[in-house]
Amino acid sequence: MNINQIIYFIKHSLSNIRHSLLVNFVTISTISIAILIFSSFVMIIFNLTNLVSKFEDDVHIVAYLNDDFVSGYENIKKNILKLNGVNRVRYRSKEQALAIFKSSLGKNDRFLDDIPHNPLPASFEIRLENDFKSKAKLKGIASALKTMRIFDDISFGQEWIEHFHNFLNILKVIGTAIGAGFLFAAVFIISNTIKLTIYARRDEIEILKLVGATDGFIKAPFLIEGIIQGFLGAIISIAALYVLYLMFLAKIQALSFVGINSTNMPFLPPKFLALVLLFSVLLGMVGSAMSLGEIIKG
Amino acid sequence: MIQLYHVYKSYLKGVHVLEDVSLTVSRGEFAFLVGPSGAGKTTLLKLLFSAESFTDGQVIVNNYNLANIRHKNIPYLRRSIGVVFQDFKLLNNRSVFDNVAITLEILGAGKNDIRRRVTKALKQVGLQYLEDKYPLELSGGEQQRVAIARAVVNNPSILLADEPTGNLDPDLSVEIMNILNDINAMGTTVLVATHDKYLLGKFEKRTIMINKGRVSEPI
Repeated sequence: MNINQIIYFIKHSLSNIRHSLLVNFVTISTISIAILIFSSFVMIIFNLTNLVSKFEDDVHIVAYLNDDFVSGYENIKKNILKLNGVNRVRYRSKEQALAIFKSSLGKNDRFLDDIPHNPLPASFEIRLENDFKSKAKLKGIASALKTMRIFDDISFGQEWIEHFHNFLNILKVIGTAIGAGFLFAAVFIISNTIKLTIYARRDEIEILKLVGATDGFIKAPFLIEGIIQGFLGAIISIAALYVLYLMFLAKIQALSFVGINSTNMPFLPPKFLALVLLFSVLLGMVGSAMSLGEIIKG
Repeated sequence: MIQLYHVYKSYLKGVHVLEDVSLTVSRGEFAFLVGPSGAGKTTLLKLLFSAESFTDGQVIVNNYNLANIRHKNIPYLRRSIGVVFQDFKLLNNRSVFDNVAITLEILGAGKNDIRRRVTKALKQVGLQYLEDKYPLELSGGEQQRVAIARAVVNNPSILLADEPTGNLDPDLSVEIMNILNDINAMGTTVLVATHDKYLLGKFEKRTIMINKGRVSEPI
């Protein structure tokens, strides 16, 4: 293949598109919708995965001290630090706990004045090594703490993270199923568009064959047409996704308490966008290639 | 160089379109393939550029053994043969120039090269002034000449013409035959299928008779 042939292929695939604008419009729209739905799911899953891994980084144990213990905190802290997997330990006294609680109440803290004594327990916030953040390991550390018989309660936030993981997995399955359905439809529509083009150009294909064109030479413009459809479909869907993303951010930022912004909920990174583009181009090629067997016949 | 040895072609079992055909057309030769309609002329020509397969025998064209030619080699065989079809097979949505250029585009020729060679081929058939016209704007004789220009633009070693004067009046027929004669004079092997007896009398060339699928040559 030389540069003249490549120019010929591109010229003819563009002319194919120009000659059947409506059909190509429908095809490219279908690809855009398929890729938009697919990449929306990718973005949602990408952001939720990021979010959950941030929460996982934050996983720690809080051990609430029995009120009978009013001294010896340093020794307790040392003993906790000796446990396998413990990274850092911070003591929070009853007074500190109350102060934090008060500040979280804001203007409504007055009712605390009526309480005769501080009901909040002192606690140890226990930070763990990264390898010790799984549910099983957390449970191991918690039961080791229990054997010290000085804590009323031991809590760790792993439960709901596991629930969140399950939710994420369900979302992945749904996303994959819906995405696959639309992608299948897109491939089907592309292959039919190309079939229509092949049918419209059957005289030309016959003549090309008779004057000695190779199968590859005849097929190339149709493959390129599929690639162009895939490429344009991806560009349109990425642009639409970005617009939707900006609209979503604008809406959610208005609800200031949610605290979501473009930093903690970023758009798909360039690497993902490149993959979406590549995937869409492949989709166009596959859809087109599926119809090209027709050319060999006869 | 065209060689056929005991070639049979049948679409239905026992009904031969071509029956025990053996013949040789040497390099640089000009020959007429003559016979009534339905005699098997078009089928025989189609065998030579692998547009039809044959049932039995051997066919060798430009050193390609067509009995076992691979699908991927058929385009290369066809590039060495120019074919003028009975129904011209021109693309009505392309200009005369672009119709002729097809043969060179598939070879990956450059724009300037295509311009030079197409102009030369159109000049050869006397149509250089019509290069921007479309086939439907041309007369039958002009369309025939475009088809010839497309067949010869790549300097094939063999030119096959299927009833090239079929729809033309005698004067135009002679004009077309003169063009084919000129092409032959430059070294191209030419095989013309025709049932036009007037031409046979006017051009004294080798004549291969074909009737009911059997070939014979007057001695």
